[in-house]
Amino acid sequence: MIALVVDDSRAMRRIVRGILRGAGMEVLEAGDGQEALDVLDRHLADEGAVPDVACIDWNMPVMDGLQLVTALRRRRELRSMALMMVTSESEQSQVVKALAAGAHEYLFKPFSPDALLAKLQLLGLLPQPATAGGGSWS
Amino acid sequence: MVVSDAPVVTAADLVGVVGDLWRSVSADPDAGDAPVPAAWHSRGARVLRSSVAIEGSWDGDLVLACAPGAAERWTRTMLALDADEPLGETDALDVLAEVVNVVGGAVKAHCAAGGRLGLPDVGEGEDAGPPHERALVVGLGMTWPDAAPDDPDALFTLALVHR
Repeated sequence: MIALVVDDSRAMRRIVRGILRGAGMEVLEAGDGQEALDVLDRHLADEGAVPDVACIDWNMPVMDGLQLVTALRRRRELRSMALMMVTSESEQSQVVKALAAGAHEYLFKPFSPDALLAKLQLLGLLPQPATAGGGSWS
Repeated sequence: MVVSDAPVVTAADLVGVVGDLWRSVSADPDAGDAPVPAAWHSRGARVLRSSVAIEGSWDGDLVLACAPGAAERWTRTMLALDADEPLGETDALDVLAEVVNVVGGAVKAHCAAGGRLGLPDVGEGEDAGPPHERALVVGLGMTWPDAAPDDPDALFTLALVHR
């Protein structure tokens, strides 16, 4: 399983990367939406494989998360990739916007490792219950 | 901007959001060490600062200012770094940017719908003391229950201010 983590916070990318690697996933990273598109194009060219999920922050420079979701949903070859917003934007109107743009799941910050893993289970990406071994993001 | 459009946020709300964030990153989320209210920094105290703009029907900023020791505690906890592991040069500012981003998102939910959360701004400097009451929506100092009550290096402050 391959995940793409998109967040302008290096700390948050490190945290999410740790959780996903602990669940056995290979992790690609990007610091904004445009970089995410570049990383995806390189990965497609090099590996010929579409990541299984993208965990996307909302507020980022250059291209924000909503713009990225919109751009990704326009690309037919990326349709199999699940899109999950991972963000501090917690208003219902924002959730609706993200889902309307094509996001499949939405996870509010702060979140526990088990909450992130539970979302991946809901998306069918983790075959059985997995835990991060505690409450920390390590 | 109409001041009456300011979000209705209390000190207890801030304590709650900070507690939720702390428990989500702590090795033991059931440990009773979530930050508690404390004093403000002394004027002139060196702090690491992060802030995020909230804009829409009300314009303001959420400002987090951490004494170096408090910044280090946030950083080691969020990044799960042991006491003897070195910190990267920008680790603390990056972590504090994320802290203010998360708390800012929760604060924005108290504003009228349609507001925008900016990108965090970070830096270092000297604390100027609590904001003037006319500018302040809510603000408080915080520390950890296991810190000495008068340890200035364990303090951090959150202030929501009108722009």
